[in-house]
Amino acid sequence: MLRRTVLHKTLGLVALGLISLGVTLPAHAAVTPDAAKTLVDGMAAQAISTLAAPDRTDAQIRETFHGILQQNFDFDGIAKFVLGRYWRTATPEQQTEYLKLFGDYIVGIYANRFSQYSGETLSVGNVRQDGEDAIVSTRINLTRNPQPVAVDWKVTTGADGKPRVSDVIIEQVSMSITQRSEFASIIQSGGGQVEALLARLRAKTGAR
Amino acid sequence: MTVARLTKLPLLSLLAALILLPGCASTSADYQSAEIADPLEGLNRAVYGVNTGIDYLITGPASYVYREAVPSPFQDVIRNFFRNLELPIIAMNKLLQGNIDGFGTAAGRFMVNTVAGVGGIADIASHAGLKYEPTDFGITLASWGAEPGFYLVLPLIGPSSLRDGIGRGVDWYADPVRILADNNEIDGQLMIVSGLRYLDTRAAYDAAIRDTRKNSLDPYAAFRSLFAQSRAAEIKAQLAD
Repeated sequence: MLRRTVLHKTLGLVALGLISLGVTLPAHAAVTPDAAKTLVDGMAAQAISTLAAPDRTDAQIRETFHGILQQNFDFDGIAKFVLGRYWRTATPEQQTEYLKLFGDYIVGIYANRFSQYSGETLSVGNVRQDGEDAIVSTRINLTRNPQPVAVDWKVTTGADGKPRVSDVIIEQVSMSITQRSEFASIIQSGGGQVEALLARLRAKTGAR
Repeated sequence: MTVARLTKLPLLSLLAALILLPGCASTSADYQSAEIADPLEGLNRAVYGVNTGIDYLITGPASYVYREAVPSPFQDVIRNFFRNLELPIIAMNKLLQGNIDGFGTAAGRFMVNTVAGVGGIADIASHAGLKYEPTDFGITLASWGAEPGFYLVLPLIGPSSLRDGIGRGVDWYADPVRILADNNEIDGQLMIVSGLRYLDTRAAYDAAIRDTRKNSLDPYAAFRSLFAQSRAAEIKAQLAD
């Protein structure tokens, strides 16, 4: 009887120890499937309510998307991944400018894509764990085509410890990997200079 | 002896060389396994440029007209017809892949749709659970362990790889439908069917093509990556069956 109580107390202390250890390591915690699903659900609801609103202007859509992406995407993580090994060869000034341009570029792309919105819906399917990350499978139901588009959202733990989208995988094609391949190609044909990419990004984002 | 046999069979020796090629693709996690080497980038970019020009001027607008002007029931009939004609070579590839179920589905589908579907214009077989599951000799080569090798942009056709380009050649050469059409001098009609199939496929990719051209900083590199990733995913899915 007495032994049992001691055992319970010991276990309780161990558990307390584990919990306190856990509290000191929040940034490296794995994303739970529930948290990932909540993130994607919330983002879809936010996006669709904006798009479905009558008399929306392109400027409004862009602004709203900027907000949604800033809140839900691991922008800096994506930007660094996409720049690959060239992140380390960039000067601190180039890194800062790149992060800003990359954000504008992505917002521009999504605002473009979503400005053609015509009542598409998103249905969230299953969530699977992928190491520390979680992958949320969704389907975008199109209005003109009976075949839905499969979109997977990779959710990771952001620098702030919150779940954030780190990649969008459309029909098995990763947007981050595609962009990394593009950016590497631009830098390589520009003689290995990150400036070559920055010039293109400036032109693209300025021209919009 | 062996040498003589190999020279008689240049295709086989080429295949052997291909299979022995060191893997160029990296082999890490799911979506990472899709980088493709591009040693012929200069030539590929030139062919890409010509293809893009032709697409802007001719095939892009033609596919738009096809999609918008031809009533969709007719488009369905045309699609059913050319898909049916693909089934003999699909069935042969399934067999070469050791996929007996896939072979049965393709062969059964061909018989049902050719007979009950009036020469393939009606897709009765899908309602009977015999789904259209395309495959090709590039995937057969992959099932034997061949890596993509390197990236190739084919004239008019577009993104491909050494392995898949060879696969296309073999599929064309061995296609019983083409051989039959050649022997009966109806290869002209078959060309028309191939043309319609081209427009149908082009129309299906239209949104993705326009999106990439509009948003990408280097569309050539983007298409290369899109091809490498989606082809790797397609092969992985088919070989998992």
